[in-house]
Amino acid sequence: MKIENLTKKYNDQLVLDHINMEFEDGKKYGLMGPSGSGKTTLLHIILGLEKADDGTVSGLEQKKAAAVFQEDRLCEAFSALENVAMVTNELSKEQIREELSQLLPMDSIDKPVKNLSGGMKRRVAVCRSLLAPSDMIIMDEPFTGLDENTKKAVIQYIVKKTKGKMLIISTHNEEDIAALGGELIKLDGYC
Amino acid sequence: MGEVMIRNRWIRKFVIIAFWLAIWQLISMFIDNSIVLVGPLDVIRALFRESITIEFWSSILYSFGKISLGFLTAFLLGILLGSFAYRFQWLKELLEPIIMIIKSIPVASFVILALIWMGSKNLSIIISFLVVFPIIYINTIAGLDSTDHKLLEMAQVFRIPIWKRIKYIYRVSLLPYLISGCKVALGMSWKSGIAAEVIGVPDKSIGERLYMSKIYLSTDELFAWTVVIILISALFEKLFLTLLRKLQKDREVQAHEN
Repeated sequence: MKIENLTKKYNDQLVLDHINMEFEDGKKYGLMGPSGSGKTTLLHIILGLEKADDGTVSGLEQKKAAAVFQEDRLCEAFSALENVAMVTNELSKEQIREELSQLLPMDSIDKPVKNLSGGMKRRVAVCRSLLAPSDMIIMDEPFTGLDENTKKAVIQYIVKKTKGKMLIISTHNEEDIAALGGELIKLDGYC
Repeated sequence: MGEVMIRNRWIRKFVIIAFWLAIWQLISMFIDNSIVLVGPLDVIRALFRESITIEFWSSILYSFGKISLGFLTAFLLGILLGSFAYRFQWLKELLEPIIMIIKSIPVASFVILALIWMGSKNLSIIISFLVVFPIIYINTIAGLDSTDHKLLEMAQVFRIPIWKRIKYIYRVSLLPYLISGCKVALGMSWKSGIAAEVIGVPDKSIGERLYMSKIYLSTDELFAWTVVIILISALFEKLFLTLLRKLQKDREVQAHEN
């Protein structure tokens, strides 16, 4: 995937200024930058949710994407199991339950997501993105609301499930990128 | 504690109803004219007298079938066209004048027009359809418009097929609006359907029975049929709303809607 001269403005405020990047299949990338540096905007453009004012993103034509958004974007009335089942036909309910149990307590899997804590919801969102059929996974600050121990477990799970897939993750913590074995990309004007 | 409170609530309700029935009975006794006003006991007697005849039940079946058919057709078509109108702006704009016209024309005008064009046989189907359709159509669009666009973006990214989007995303947004719409539409379909039957006087309908009770000044029958209409309408409303609520996954939304 190649990003060339990508530019995006909001009300005359330049958020992305002629960004150039290249991402290879099967590799992991960690996007870092201060708040307002355009990380979320860039990820949204890659996902096709926003349009750039100028520049191109190529190499996405054949790619299936999955994502963890900055907000959880879960269907709150449905269980964790149903939230994952809605994005994949490749796994049985038992397989999904087994996967979810690696990040969540068993008794929370069938509860409506609205009854789960913020950290649990985040783990459901991460699990959903990793179990959906995809070649490329985008994660926008996936560790928000997770304590250190849970974060470690989530990182291990991400590493296990993203073998051979392209992963682009935005975070404020350089150590998270190192733990994932990702290549660091800084979005502070010099990338 | 909870059970006691519930029992007290039922007792209070019963006492209130009994109080007003007693007032009604006293006023009817005071007026002492069975053409102007009958008491609740006369109504119960008339209801019992009627209910042992075959005509009573066939009239109920006739009107119930016609009004329900009009309601259900409007319900399904309202959801279908409302969904397409939500998806295609041109269709929404195309249908807007028709919906405005149906909403603004008085029911009585529709009844007379339908009588001239199609006769009285299917009058209550058409009238209940015309009353219900705009309510369901408008509520469908409003419900779909209220869908969380962030969830729709998520569905777009994950390439979630349309039937799953309907099941997990649209249904949750749509049902509270549909239930609110149905609460209004169900009552109105019965009121307008029976009013149409009274004007058109189709054979073996509740409307015909009401019309006859007017002609023969049988106020007790008029009241008895009114009670029957209220009971059937309430029963149908309860049954239909229960079915809709079963489809509604999110109990919190349900509680909010109530």
